[in-house]
Amino acid sequence: MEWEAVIGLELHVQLLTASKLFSADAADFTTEPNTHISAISLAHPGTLPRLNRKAIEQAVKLGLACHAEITRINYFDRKNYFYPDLPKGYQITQHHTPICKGGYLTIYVEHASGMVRKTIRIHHMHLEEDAGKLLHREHHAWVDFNRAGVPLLEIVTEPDLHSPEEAAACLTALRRLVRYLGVSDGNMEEGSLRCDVNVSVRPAGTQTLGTKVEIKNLNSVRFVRKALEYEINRQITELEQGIPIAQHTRGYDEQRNITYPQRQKEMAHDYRYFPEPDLAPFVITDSMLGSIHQQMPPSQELLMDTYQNELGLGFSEAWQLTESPATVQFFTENLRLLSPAAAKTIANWLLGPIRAYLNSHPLQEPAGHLTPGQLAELIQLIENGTTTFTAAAQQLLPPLLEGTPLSPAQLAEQLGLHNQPDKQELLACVDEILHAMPDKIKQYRSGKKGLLGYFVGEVMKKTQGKANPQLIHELIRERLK
Amino acid sequence: MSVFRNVQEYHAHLLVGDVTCEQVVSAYLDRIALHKHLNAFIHLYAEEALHRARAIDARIQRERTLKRLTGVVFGIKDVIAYAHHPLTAASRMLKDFRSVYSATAVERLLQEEAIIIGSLNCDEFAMGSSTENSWFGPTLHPLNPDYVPGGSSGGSAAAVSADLCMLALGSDTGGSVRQPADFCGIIGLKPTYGRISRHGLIAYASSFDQIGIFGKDIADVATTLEVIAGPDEFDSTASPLPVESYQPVNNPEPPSMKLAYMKEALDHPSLDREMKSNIEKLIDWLIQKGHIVDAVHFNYLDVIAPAYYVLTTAEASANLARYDGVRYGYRASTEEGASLDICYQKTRSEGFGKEVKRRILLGTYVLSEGYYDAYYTKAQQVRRLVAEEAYRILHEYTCLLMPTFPTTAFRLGENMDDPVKMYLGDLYTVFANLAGLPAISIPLFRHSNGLPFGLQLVAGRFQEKKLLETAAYLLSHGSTI
Repeated sequence: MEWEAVIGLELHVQLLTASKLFSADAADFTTEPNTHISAISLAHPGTLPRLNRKAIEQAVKLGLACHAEITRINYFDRKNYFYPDLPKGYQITQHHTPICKGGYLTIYVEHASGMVRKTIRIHHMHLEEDAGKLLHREHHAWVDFNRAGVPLLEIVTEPDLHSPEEAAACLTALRRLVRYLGVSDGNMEEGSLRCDVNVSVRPAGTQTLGTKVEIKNLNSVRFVRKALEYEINRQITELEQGIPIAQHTRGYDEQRNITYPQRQKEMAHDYRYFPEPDLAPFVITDSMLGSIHQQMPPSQELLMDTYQNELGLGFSEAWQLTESPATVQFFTENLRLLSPAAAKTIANWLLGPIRAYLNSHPLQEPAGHLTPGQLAELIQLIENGTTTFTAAAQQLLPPLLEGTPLSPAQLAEQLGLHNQPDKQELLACVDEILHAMPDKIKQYRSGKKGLLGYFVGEVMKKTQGKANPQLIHELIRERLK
Repeated sequence: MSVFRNVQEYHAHLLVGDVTCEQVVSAYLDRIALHKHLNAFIHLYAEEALHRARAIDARIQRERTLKRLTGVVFGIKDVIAYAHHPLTAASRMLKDFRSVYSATAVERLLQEEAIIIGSLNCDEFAMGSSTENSWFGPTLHPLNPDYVPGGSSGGSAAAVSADLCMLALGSDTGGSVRQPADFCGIIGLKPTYGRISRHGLIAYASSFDQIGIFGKDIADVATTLEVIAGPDEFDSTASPLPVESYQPVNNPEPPSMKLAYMKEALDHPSLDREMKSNIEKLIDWLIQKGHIVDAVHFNYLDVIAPAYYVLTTAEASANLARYDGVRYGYRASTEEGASLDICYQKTRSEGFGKEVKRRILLGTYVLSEGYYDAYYTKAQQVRRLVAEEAYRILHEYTCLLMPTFPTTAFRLGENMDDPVKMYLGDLYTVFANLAGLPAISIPLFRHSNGLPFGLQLVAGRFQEKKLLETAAYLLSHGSTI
């Protein structure tokens, strides 16, 4: 029998804010334990939560980018349970009125035919506070409250995913989007992005959902894929043997690459949710929504489409160019200075020599100190034959990236990289070379066209690489007609 | 020397220079020593108060100016935070706890140069009507030590009544300011919910709690309200409405007022007959004076106390979850290797008193799955109906008149074995908390049993000005009524 997997994701995104969701202490929890704490985050008697407006803005940004409906009047709820890392004995969350409802995420899945674009519906996104961390040392448990109160956005997708690859693509797309928007650093190793998956299988072509199993705490894209591969197989095997799937929670063992059932609590938790009376409802006004919208970079998914369909870039180029607003801005400015037809050339520069240099030098993305104007000039210098791509990439680019005060043309002149030979000189040089090898010319004329490259090479040698190979090529062909 | 009748008189002497703050603090300290048996204070800050008084005296010497509460001696209920001072909530759970910050109300008192002389006894976590539920022992009624002073702010009422401080802060969740004021023959004001910041007030039931003021002089109560009321960045539920002048204009013959009383309240079988006839006489006097006093119907009188106890215990069950022995406060000693659950159980069983545990259990129960709708949701519906009904009445009438409590002060131990009887006594006070309205108890009457009792006035939301004016009018005619 053919089986189909049905997968939904629950993603916890730590929002990038200077302070915690309900207090002024720093949200950076990578420092020494218990250094970013306060009477509020430790739940001292008499303290009240103070809602961090920035966290609301961050959630709204992601919501808008995902075409979600933004909840205008936001209430919070208390989720009650006891644990040493939970200072108040309840978590403040949004149980009844999530800040974003609906919407979708655009993902790209690799198929034999190329990258396929899919939309994954989002059920909702809600704000909540993170808990602290337990550290077990020398038979004692210690609690670090630095993370307690850090803002989290929980994103729940609809079960629109049907393969481990799609689930991985969805997680990748979300991570890419939150980074692009500056909503989160999306760092899975440090836990800024955490993923739980819900998965069930059903006979292909049927509509009824199977019994779902939750796999908790998958902390990399690879583990999401591998855990799902294992779990889908496991469920199919069981079902084919006639064993029904029981709804339960599993963990993933990275070492053994298996999922395993997690110990069930003796009783199902009753969190006794009720409206948080310590927070006045937070209203998102039209003007707040408008100003958030204005702060947002251009839509990443629209750019992906434009770059591929209108500028003729490949998927990979479009994907890389839309990774950060800074790159988009740089690229857009270059397009404006040159022309849409130059898109491919600009992309090659940005993703080729510039990225290569940045990878090994501590410079700011997307192009160090190089300005879009300078890159445009550089490209023009090559196009009008003043210098060559090789010379520009190897000798002009590094100082420009490092912030030389000279313009590309001045720099080329200073480094003696102007194509010294003008057309006349070059022609003389070509003649000289050709004159010295009448045999080869005969061979060429009798059909050995491959020799053209050899002639060009000889001329290049003679001009010490300064001449424009394109031009040499043309001149030689002219002469040998 | 003796103490002054009100701030105005005191300040006149301070300016003349024939009295110092230090002398006044000493006088109060003497009286406190004389009334030690009342057990009104939990902690006394004698040296510190004298020190502060001397500093203030020196400043007055230099500048010849007074602030609104310069040198005024306050006591604060021990559920209100005062930085670097004990904050016990009259509970074993916090018996050694000191607050690292001050409540906004305390901060504002101190800014106006008030002197805090000590923390006042109360029912544990403000849960009770008699101040018998205190880890530090009961407070006695200042006029008869066989009686309770009321509660939960019994220490505050007893202290002001016995002139152990000039004014006191309490907290009122269901009558905890008005009822002890009523028992002890003084003024007790509970402002509109949100008028005074709750930042620094230990939460019992967040959507009901409000800091209240005890005094003997209506103008002093008004001044204190002006000082501590108003918006606060640390409490999003504090109203942004600006603070107006609450000083009652002394008008012995004001224009005709439109007042009302609930017929069901005066006819209630639990109301003492003599108290009822006293209030009826007052109503007759008002009508004689040309005021309108209408009987209005209120159909929910018998369900408001049950609704109140469902909602407040629900909120309390979460609010008190933070007292778990992990970060601060009492922690039970457990055997090496005891489980986390055992630590919680022992700590909370030993740290909390009987009444607090009763309310936590009740609140946990009403929020539990399967019971939630029958109790919590239902009680919320009642609350909404009560608020609508209150709005309807107070839209038409300036104030509602009603008893504060069905009887005068009861004997120590009299109601300790019957919590339901104790709870039902709150029927007249919880109305204002359910609807979030300002209410005041003013000492107008003396019962043939020798104990004082008051009249309660309730006004519309944020109508403190009218409430205090009506109260001042009645108080000024008190002896002639």
